[in-house]
Amino acid sequence: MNVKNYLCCSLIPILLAGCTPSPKVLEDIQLVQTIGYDYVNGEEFEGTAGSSNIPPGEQSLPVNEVFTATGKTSKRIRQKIQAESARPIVVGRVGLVIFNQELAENGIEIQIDSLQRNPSIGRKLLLVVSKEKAKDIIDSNYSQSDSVSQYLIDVVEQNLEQTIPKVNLHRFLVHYYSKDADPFLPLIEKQGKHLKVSGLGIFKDNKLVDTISFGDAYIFKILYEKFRRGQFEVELSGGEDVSLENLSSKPKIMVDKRNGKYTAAFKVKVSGRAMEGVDLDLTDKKTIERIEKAVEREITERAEKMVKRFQELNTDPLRIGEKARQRSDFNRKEWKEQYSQMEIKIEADVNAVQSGIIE
Amino acid sequence: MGFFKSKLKRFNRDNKQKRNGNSEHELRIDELLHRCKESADFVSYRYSESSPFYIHYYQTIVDINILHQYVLPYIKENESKTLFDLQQAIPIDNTEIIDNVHEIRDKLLTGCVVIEVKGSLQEALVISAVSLEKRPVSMPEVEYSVVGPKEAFVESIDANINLVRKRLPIPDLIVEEVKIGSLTKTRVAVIYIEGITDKENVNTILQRLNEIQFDQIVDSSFINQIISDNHNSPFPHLIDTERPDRVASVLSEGKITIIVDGSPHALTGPTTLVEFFSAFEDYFLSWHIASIFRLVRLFAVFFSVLSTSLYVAVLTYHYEMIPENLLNPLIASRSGIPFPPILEAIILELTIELLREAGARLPTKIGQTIGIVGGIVIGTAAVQAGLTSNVLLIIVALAALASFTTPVYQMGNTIRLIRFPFLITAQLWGLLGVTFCFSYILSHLLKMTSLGRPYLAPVYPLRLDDLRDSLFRLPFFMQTKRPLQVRSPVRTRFQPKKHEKSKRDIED
Repeated sequence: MNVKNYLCCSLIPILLAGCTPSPKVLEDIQLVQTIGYDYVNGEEFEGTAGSSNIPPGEQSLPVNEVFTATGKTSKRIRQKIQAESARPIVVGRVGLVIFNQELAENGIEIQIDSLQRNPSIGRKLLLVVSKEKAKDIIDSNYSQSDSVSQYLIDVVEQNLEQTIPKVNLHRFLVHYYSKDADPFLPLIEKQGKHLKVSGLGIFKDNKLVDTISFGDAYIFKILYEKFRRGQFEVELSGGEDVSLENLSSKPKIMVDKRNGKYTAAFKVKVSGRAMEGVDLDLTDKKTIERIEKAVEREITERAEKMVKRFQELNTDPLRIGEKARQRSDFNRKEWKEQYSQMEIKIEADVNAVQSGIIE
Repeated sequence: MGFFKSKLKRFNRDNKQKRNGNSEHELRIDELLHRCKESADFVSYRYSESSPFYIHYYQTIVDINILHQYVLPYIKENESKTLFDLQQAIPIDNTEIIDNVHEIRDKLLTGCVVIEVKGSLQEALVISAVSLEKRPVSMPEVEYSVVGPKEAFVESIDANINLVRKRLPIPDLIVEEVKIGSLTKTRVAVIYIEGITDKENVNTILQRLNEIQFDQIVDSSFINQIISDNHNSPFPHLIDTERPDRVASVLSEGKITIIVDGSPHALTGPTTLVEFFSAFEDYFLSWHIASIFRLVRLFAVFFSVLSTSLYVAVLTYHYEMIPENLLNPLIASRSGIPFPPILEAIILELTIELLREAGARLPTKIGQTIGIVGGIVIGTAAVQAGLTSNVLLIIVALAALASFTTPVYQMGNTIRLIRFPFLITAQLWGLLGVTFCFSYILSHLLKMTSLGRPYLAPVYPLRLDDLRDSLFRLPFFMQTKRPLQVRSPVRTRFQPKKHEKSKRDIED
């Protein structure tokens, strides 16, 4: 028995010798951190890999390194890039993928497919649409001293927390594969020495159909997900500007079906702290009420306009369809037919809880 | 079955003794003396021409003052001619008239003066006058504590038992003595408290001790290795301690202590893995502090065992795992190094082991120099020469530091050792290899026993009551029961009084 055990133990490593993974020693590989895709023509596209070389030394700063190639598939592009690189290229640390707007309008199916099939790519990967060429965004210098890739990732990540709805590869794929919802991605653009998140790109299936502004993206976020620590600015009837800070909001979608007709309603609960009312007496209850009313009106009006636009484009990034699907009497054909004409109500309930430090 | 086995064994042993007795029965007293005289330190003379008494002793192990003050004058005064008269006259207790030559020999060799009458054939008066060299009781060095008692065992078994017995002045404290070692004839004492200790544990120890066939027992660690449950395990099976207070404490828990003559370390058992990470000082501190320290020590063990292997695994296979902010410094420190991570780690680990070994073998004063040379000179020079990365240097140094936090030295050695298999498997299969190695060691620990009791208790088998004094230490009023591990017949340590939130003052 014991001899058998020893034999087994010594045999296992020998038999498994071929199964050992190939080592990828950290400093001997080229870590790609950002990928950009640009439109070339109907068949080919251009891929850009943003990476950095870190010279030895304690205080050394990373040096930006960009590889570009054109091809019909991402794998072909990767092959071409590999030919340029001194070290094997690995994509396990990609944090951001940039799609050029033109490419996105023509569909990003191939790229998404290759991303989601690759086991070494994480599901927390960030996807964005850029107004400029993706290559120009990756291959440029920003005022930050950190590596370019890291800077780009930081800018997008920070905005996903505060100003635009959260989306990463996983969430994108949920919308992308859902029959009753359409995906959306953040929109970025370069502004001088900075990168800026400038709104949202709305997709219909795999094609970009619309972009919405930064301000509307905020309304989108209010309708789309629960969040805290936001900020909202509104102009009162008297012309004064007031801002709500520390905003927390919680949306609720309700879909109703009466006589075969679908209706939907958003109920949004927003509460925040009224701040920065220049000439306003924020201790006065009436003023607070006025602020609340004004914010409610602002949110409702802008949201209704935005939802109308989505209906016109027949796209559903707010996943109203997903909510409708939860009903037992859901009929997808009917829903698809009715979606663009159905009635969607927006109700906002704003509560200004505090007015900061007074006197 | 077991009963018959033990009977058989006893029968065999008795037989063996009889045989030995028979073969040596021919030994006569004059032959014995003749053989002893070959040693230069053996003294044998007749007191005076008129006296019938011959005196024999080894001058190196006999207290010559006793002989001069209490024996010789009485031989001179006493005109009697028999040993019995002399025994009556000498004012020393424990004198014996023995007619067994083997006994006489044993006594002679353990520091007795043998007086023989001319003409008597097999009889001799044996007077105990032992003079043993021993150092005074000093401070504990291995298990030093800032607060608490500062006594440590010494190399004399009698002094050591004295230190224990004075802490447990009860008649139930039983000391059973066996002699082990065909050459060294080492006295080995098994100490336990009757009624509290499970008799089965005592019998296990006594049986294992009696079965030892070895020529020399120089230190208690010999016994520890010989009677351990699994000879192939790198983990120690019994705790060795140099603190009498710790011994007294574990005795009252129902455990057993083995004290070996010539060794300043007592062995206690049955024991568990977590006990190796509890310093006795824990009991001198308040329970919150002690609990946190124990957890810190446990963390230190894991860190010490796993940190370098994780470094190797992550840098070789799992570049995805490295936190974003750590990536740049790691690559920057690694990129100039000519070795792969595994070689780098092995070189550094070996350097630390070398330093430790060198420090341990050298006198204290030079040992400090070694620390400075190793730590500062080799460390910084290796980094500046670009041979190792400073990140790994930090990790290895921290791991070495963490391994010193283990209160029991033997366990610290084990932890030093088991890092290396982790390193190798980390290089072969990355994190999977680390997991594999960890599972292997865990399964080994699960199977392990100490004196037949599970080694990983109270974690597995889970014994909630025992957890109160293992990974953390709860306050004393909650420690009302002895650990289940020792199977004590009396589990209750004391009657728990209802715990009062606030202590009462003296009522007037």
